[in-house]
Amino acid sequence: MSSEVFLRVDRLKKEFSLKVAWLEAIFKGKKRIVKAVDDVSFYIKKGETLGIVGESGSGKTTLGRTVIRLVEPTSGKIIMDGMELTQLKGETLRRERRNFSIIFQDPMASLNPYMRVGKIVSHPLEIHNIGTKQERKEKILWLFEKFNLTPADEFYNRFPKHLSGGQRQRVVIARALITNPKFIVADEPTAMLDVSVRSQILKLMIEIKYEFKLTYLFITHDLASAKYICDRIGVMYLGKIVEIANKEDIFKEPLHPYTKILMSSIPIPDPNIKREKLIPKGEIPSATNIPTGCRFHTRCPFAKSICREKEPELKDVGGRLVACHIV
Amino acid sequence: MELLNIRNLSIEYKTKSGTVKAVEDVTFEVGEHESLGVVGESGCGKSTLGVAILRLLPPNATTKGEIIFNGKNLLSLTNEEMRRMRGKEIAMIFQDPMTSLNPIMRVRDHFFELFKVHEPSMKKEQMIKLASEALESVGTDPKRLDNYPFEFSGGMRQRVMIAIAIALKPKLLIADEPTTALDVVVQEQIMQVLKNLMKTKNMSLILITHDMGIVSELAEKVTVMYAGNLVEHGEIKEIYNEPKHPYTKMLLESIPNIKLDDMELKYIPGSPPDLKNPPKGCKYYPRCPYTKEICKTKEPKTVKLGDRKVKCHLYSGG
Repeated sequence: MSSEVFLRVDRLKKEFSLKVAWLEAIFKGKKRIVKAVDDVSFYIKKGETLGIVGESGSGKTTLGRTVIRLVEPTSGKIIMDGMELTQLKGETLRRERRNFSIIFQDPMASLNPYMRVGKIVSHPLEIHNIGTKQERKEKILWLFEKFNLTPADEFYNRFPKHLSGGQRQRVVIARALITNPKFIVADEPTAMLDVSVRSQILKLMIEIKYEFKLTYLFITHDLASAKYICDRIGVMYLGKIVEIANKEDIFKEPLHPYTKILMSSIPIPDPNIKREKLIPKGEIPSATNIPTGCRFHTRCPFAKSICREKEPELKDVGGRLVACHIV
Repeated sequence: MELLNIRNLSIEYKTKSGTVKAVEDVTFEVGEHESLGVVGESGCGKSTLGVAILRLLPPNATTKGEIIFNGKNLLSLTNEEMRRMRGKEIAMIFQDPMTSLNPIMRVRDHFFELFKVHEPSMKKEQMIKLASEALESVGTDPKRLDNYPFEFSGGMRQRVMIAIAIALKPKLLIADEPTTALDVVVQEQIMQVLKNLMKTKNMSLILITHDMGIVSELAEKVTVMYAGNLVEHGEIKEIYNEPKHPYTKMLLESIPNIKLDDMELKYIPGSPPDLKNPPKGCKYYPRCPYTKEICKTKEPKTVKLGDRKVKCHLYSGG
């Protein structure tokens, strides 16, 4: 990992407006807005893996998609490899897309069932006009060999339905990698897989990261998976990053109450260990109706009166950033 | 006394492309107030096993063996007798609380439906009282009886599901991946609910899951299944501290943990066999690092080692 910053995200916001009934819209002048990503800033160094963890509805998937402009940001800046992605448009943006890609969560839904696996993986090459037909095929077969999708030429002609979950996810990774990107967003790449396959995919992702000199944004709800692959971890809650720090710091001593809760919620397979658990009240509120003050105060076991009134800013606590009044 | 005795249970599904041996010769028991975890990968037969106890398998399934519950063989009951068991003596909760509640019925009507089947003479006040108590015991405000399922979040729906399941105080609760569709934090809340219920109600629990973490926190005993077979069964602590079957060993090793000093990612190579055409001999041999010649030809017998059962040639002296 170098010290050079590869990706800088600055005050990124993404709001979705919800459809409201027209009567409500006319008479109450109401517009319901979901603040999916609400003023998020971070950086990722070259060759680094930043993990984003949080519950469903925390905005982590929207963040991942917005960073590579699959979703248009409402405001904010994204600077990747010295280039301001937020300024790019049309054909220039499309040409740039070969440099970054995404691995989706559900390998069943992200592969076209009517396309053969070889065609699926060569599609990005065709779009970007890379190589001749023969060269494309050779590259794909080489990648399949590497990914243990063997015999490779047989896999090349198979349909996704003939593949197991783990094999499909390897095809999704192959497609993400085929244009030699520098940056990959991995959105819960192992969430739909069985335990024994999960580790295989994580291991593969770690191997290719070094071999292809990749930088990752790794989105997950599973802190245990994040431990193996991430260098730093950002914890997201209702559209905001509440804590961001080195993996070691997060695991040794989580500071934000929400991070503490996430850590203590992980079931530990060792029956000899009995832990004190920290259990929050209720569930994540709707992003259309974000609580005032600290957005976590409605569930926080440590909330004080200031937490209801004032929104905490991310502040430096011993080299890490935490947004909490009581830390 | 044992509450549930499963004896030599085999279940096959007839499909167009062949017969799937989903469960094969499985024998275990669950004691009163005991909690048993059933773990294994997708397709190992663990859900089929749970549904079979309630006799809710699809028509293309054939069941052999015995399921003895409270002294009665469930497989020889008439349909009507079995219907009276479901919800009253044995209840089940499923993975997805979104699809297991009826979207156009209020929560109270889900309870009432259950009460009307089992206690047709029950008065409305009594029904509301029982339903309220059940909701309270899972940490939900009884006022919410009048709400529709869509007015609840995922975790709250699972609480409602559990409340309905335990409303008539069944002796056995079967929970099939009760937290898989939920977030970690909510999962923890639901596990606490189940823990409390185990303490306060006289109930046994069969917890079907792929997550050893959940089993360790909730169950006393565990059954490990692979490709329709019971490969190991025993006390959770003993199995965790000293797994005997190679599959159990590798399954335990492949679980991601949160210890910073253990960064090695282990996994089980290969994938489970096609159950229409399983390998001869031990079903695990193609993935097993200890495979001997005998494993490829002869199916291992289940042997008892103290309180433990293991199905592996390493222990059967073969």
